[in-house]
Amino acid sequence: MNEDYVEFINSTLKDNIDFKQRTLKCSSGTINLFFIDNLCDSKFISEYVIDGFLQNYYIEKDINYIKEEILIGNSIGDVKSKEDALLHILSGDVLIVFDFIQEKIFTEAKGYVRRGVSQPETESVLKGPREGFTEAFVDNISLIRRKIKNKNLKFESMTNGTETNTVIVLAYIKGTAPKALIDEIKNEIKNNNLKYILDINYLEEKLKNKKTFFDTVGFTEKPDIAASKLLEGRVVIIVDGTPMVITAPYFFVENFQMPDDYYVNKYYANSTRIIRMAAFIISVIAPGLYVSFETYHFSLISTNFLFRLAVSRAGVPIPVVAEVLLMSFFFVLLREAGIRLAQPIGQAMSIVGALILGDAAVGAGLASQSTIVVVALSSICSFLAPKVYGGILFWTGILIVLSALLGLAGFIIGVYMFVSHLASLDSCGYPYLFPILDKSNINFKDVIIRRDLEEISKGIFNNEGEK
Amino acid sequence: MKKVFLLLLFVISLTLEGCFNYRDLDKALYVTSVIVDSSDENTVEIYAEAFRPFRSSQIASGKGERILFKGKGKTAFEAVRDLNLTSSYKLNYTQNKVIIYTKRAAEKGLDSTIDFFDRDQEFLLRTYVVVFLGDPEQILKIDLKEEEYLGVFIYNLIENLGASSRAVALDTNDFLVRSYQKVDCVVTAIDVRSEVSDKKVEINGGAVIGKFKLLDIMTRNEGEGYNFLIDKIKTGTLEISNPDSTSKFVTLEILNSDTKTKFYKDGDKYILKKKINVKTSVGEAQEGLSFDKNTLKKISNTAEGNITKACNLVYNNYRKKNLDIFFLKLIYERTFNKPAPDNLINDTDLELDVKVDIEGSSDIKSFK
Repeated sequence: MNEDYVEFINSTLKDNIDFKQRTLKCSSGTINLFFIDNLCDSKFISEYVIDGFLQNYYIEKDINYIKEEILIGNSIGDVKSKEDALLHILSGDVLIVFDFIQEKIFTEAKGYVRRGVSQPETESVLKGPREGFTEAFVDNISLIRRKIKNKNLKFESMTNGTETNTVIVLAYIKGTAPKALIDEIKNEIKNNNLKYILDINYLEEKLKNKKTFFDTVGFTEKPDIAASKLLEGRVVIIVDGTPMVITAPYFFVENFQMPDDYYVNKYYANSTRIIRMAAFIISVIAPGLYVSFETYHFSLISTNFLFRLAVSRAGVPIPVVAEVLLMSFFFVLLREAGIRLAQPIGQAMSIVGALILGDAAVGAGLASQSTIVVVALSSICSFLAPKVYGGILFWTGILIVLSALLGLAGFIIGVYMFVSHLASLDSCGYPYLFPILDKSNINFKDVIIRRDLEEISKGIFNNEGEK
Repeated sequence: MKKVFLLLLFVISLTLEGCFNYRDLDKALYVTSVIVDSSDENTVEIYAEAFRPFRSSQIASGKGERILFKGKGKTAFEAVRDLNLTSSYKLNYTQNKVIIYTKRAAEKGLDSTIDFFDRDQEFLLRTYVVVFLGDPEQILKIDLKEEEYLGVFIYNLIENLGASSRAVALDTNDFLVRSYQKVDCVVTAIDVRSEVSDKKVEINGGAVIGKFKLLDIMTRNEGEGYNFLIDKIKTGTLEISNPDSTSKFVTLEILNSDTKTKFYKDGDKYILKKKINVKTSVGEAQEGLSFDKNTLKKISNTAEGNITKACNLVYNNYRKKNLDIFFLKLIYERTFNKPAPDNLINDTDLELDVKVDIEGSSDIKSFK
């Protein structure tokens, strides 16, 4: 009985060093245990599975007897098919196959190496919770569950990726999150043909708008942020193996919201938030405006300042537009080098590189001081809104080129294109540029100014969750 | 298809190069002042004072250089093009601060050249129009201590008018609007004054322009009365004889002035009524002053009398010359909604109601 199962599993997993089979004898026949050594807790298997069988030589040919009297593990279940049996083994469970009982069962014995909960690197805060998600989805679920003790909080699990069978967990609060949104995300996940899923971005790409530098779904590595999004009625997607979770829908203004906006003084939070928005605008428009003023609209610059600018540029052999693009390229190089190098070296390299490169470029007559100031200002401002860095980089370039071609007219065309592009985006069916577009079914009040927490700590969908 | 259409539009837009096509900031010479002169052969002579951005390769430091250009032609445009023949970069007029007409050119008429400054895209309408009463070479060669560029200096000089109630100013836009409305107007007149150590450019009253021709020179003293009448006083001073000591003076600083105009017919005559309210404070009193009601009343009465006298003087002077520099034509047309008769100023009497209010001396806030 069940020889086909034993043969199937052995033949499928035979070339794996970590695959183990343990055969035990009892009064009724043979018991085969299959598991992956590195995914399981060997102490647990020895004490609560093998020991149970060894202590009871006389075993009845009844699966319920085994479940109730022999196995002590907290999670035991039936195996439905050979594929299901394989999936359980590969997920860290112990598969138990008897040659005297038809049913096959598994017991959970997961015990692999996990990273502990640590402080998130990309979302550091001055005040507020400091724990971050880990790569283990079960830990991530517990981190959220600890914050929301609510019977309506649901974690729906599904597997995805034809080769990796990655566990994906869809979290939402029933009654708060719109059903249509949940269904849409579920469908998107189910209907994708991904071979493997190693990070949230594999799913993000399915959910996001195409052909844009802006992320139309959000991500966070902080459980408190994920919890607040859930409480607002959004959906959180946890992917096993990555310490980031997806939040959807996601609005453009959220790019300027920081985790501790809600934990520090309201007025301070608002002032820094406005600075971040101003920095974004400056970083996008400053180089384009500079090029249009420096190449077309001299009359808009005051005389003394124009004389200074002209003197500072005198002798630079390349046109203003090439100079701005070249210096922007240098800054992008520095930024990339700074990110890719180890942190202490990277930081030092960025600072020293920027100083030396800027000064040397001016000294060599390759660029003017004013260009260095404008490009540096734009680059520094872009650091204040890191989530839209890609968008800033692309649209700054577009505005520079259009300004060089048509002056302020080109610049304004570029700004129109930029705003139109943002307005054309949507996040899982909701307008990305909220509240500029339709807001009839959204009650999202945390837009520019952070109001009182009591006022903004509400669901953002107008009773849609009930539908 | 949509993409192809957009791309086509974009490519076509590249060919839409007007006067403002791409030019790097440092690849131009910036004109700060233009002097328009007229030669004996009736050709237009244009002098331009320009700034050239310059950077020394040895010390890697930058500074500017002042360059003067001279061009000749039958028209202003031709003269300006003639200027370019001697410059390595294109002259750019966006930073031009002032258009200076020589007395000779102004007498011959501004109409032959002013249209170019109106029509050309680079010239700005906020540029001031002034008439220089001396020789153009003299003003170009002047070495100004305060400011290297003549245009910037004259611009600052005119902008600083608030300090004096006697100077008049008019920018190109106002000048053109009034001239096309066939109203006489007064532009700034400048001159070169020789001082102990050097020569200085000064504002010397106004130049009365009618039908685009220089008709008269308004003296500095007339300037104050004129400014009161046309409501152009911002700040300034009024010098009144000290009631406590007749040979000495009290200076009233004008804090604010407001002139209201009424125009109506009274029998055969028209009446131009000007109600002038001036707020002042005592700025200086030679040999002291007793601040009682009577003294202040005396001072304000004298000030009112002085203003009335100055206004009447300038009005009657230009009435005699039949020059309508008080915009009577426009006021008439606005009031009666019909074309103004000729010689309107001769049939119009000026009626003045001047009130000078004296506030106490201002508090001294800095004791350092």
